[in-house]
Amino acid sequence: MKKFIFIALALLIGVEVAILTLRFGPSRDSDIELTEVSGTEQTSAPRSSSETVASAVVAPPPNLPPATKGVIRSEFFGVEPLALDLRAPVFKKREDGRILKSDVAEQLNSLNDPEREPVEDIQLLTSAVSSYRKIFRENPVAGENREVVEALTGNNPYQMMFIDPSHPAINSSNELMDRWKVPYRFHPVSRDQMEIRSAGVDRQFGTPDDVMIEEPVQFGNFENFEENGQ
Amino acid sequence: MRNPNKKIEMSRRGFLARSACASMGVGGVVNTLAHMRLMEGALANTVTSVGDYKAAIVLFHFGATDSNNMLMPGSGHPARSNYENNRGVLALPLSSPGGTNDPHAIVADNLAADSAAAAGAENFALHPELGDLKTMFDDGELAFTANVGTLVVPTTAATYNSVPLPPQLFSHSDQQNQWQSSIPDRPFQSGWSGRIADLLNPAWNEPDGKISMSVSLSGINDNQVSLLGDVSQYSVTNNGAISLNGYGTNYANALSDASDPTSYEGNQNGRRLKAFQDIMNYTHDHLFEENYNVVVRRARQNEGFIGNAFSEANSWLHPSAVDNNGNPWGFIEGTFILQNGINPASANAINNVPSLSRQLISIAKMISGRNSLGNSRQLFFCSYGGHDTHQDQGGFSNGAGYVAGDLDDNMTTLNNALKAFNDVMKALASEPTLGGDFNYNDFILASHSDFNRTFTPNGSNPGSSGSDHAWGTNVYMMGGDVRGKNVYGYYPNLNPTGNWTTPGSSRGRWVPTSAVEQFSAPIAKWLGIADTEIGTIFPNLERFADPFTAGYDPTNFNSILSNANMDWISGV
Repeated sequence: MKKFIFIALALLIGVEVAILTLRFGPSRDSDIELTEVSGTEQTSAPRSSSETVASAVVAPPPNLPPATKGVIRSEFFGVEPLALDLRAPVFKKREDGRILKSDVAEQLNSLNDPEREPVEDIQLLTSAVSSYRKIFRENPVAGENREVVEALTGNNPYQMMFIDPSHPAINSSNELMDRWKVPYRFHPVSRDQMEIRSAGVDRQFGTPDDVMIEEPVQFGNFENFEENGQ
Repeated sequence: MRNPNKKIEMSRRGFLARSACASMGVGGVVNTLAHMRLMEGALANTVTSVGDYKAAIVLFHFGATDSNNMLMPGSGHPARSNYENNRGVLALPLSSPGGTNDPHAIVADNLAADSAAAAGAENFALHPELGDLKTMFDDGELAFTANVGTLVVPTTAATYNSVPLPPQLFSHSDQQNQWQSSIPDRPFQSGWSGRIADLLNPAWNEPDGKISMSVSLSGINDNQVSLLGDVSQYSVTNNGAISLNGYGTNYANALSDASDPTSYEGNQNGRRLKAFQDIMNYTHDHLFEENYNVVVRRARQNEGFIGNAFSEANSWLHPSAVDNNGNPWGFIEGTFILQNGINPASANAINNVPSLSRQLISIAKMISGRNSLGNSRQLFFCSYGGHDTHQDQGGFSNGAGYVAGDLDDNMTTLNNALKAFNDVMKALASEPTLGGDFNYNDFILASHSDFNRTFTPNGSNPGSSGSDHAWGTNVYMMGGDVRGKNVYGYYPNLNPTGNWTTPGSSRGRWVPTSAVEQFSAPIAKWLGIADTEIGTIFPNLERFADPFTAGYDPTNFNSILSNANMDWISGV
């Protein structure tokens, strides 16, 4: 009996030590530990996919948000972005050192193209937000058009751009405008559903000519979804 | 917007370490709750009387109400000039031509009595459609709490960019979920009402309770999700319990006596119902099959108990409301029909009552028929939507005058529902048969909302403009034990670019000065959660100031960090 108790105690202590070591112990691979973006990190030839992310981020130019010390949103609930191979063809490093999600940015060059249907603009923006979501596991945390633009132009954990900040659809207030020069309305329904609406030809929201895509309900209080007014 | 320029790489080591610690943390809550539940259960024999009845009702405003216009600064309030100068077409004047749409002035006693409060800080005004709420406020039956919201840690505009924030601020679904869980920084596992039920059900409702402690009038909700899984939500519709389909109203086509579930008719429906119930009474080795049968059997039993409670409540007749057949309406339904301005003698009068009132009718019936249900502690959840007023909210301009919009409709619905419910509760307390030892202070109703809406409008047309997603919001509480005629918390100064709003925005998105758990903890305590157990229900509460400490400095909103002033329920 004593032997069993001894073994059980030894196992328990072993598990506790292992967890504490994992949590607080020195890292043997510190180059892939949580890293603050220093703002002065320079590019070097990547050796691994995890290092690629760290090395690809460089100091932003003066007209972009400074790479300040960020905050883990929550110790337990922080949504971590995907680890990416930024050498993949869909990523391009700009002259200013920032990473451009080139496939999305190139698609967005057609935004507000008069040769295309207005609803295609919404599809393009929806696709851009979706691309952001696939990498960062959630929509941009944004209640305003400006905040969505900030997130898509690099104010995100990888400082990754999905749209060129000099895109003609972005106005001086840093808002994305539709082809009728009215800012789009971004409506965050959930972490993975963002409704995007254009006011349409009459430039008034809430009228029949508004342009938007009805997205299916994904989760949440779906039983009361219509009643929830979302 | 908070600057998220942080590269967060997660190694396998880091992931394992975090997962292990997170698992231990969650496991700790579960174990603590389970242990406390056993202790509560051991004490159950000491509390068995429905006479100790208490019911808490959460009313969720889905879609996010513009509470800037539900509770607005009144004449002489220090924030009034900011309200008028910055709210644009959404600013409602205290008096307008004709006077038919004027807000209702109220005075908060707690602020009037506080010598440290700024001059005029006690003067508020309620939305023009909330006339009955003004009366209830003035009568001490209703109070407000200003600027409540989801918080991970105490947060101000100055610390917004440097402290953990609730994930996905401004997103409907996430903020609804976090209000209901009150643990915004962890993946959802349970609601705060569900955790209360886990803890209180054994002591207060067993063995006499016949239905779940958690009853929802609004479908499955997050607030009542149990952590231990012992107290499942029971959904009741506006018409009562949900019956099995295909057997007629109240099983009239299959049973000769609705109160006897075995009084099968000798027809096809009767035989079919008998066969179905027999199958549901089988036991199965397979856990899923067995649990399916358990759920159906329990639902069928609950249906009968709910039906009994409704029958009991329906025996209480209204003295003046008569239906189109000349029969008196039940007191509860009649009260709501009249309050909503519906002719009780019109055809389908009850079907014209708005959904929120219908939900509160069902809750009032279950409170009235509580002896049939046997629970001494009952939690209800109800809701109404349509608050996401990005456009057509309603407003005012000198040219267009007062333009009623969706917010006006919502406030009318709310005013009538709360007034009728309050009237029924007061009447029940003095009703000789059903009232029994029910007291007016045996219920508390508290509101929730996704978040507040932006203070500045999104347009310049009072007819079509609206407001967008924001954060800290104003909520209300109603009931006999509510210290009414007070405004708790800290009302923002309404400067959309000042030190109350999220940095970088000029829309007026108030950083909450009280956390959801600070606001909700008094309800838990009122229901019977001990001081030592509050932290189990609200594990993040310890990060914030004690909500039960009296006295605060209303001139300094940062003092919320040291005092929450949430003593809004007497006796806790």
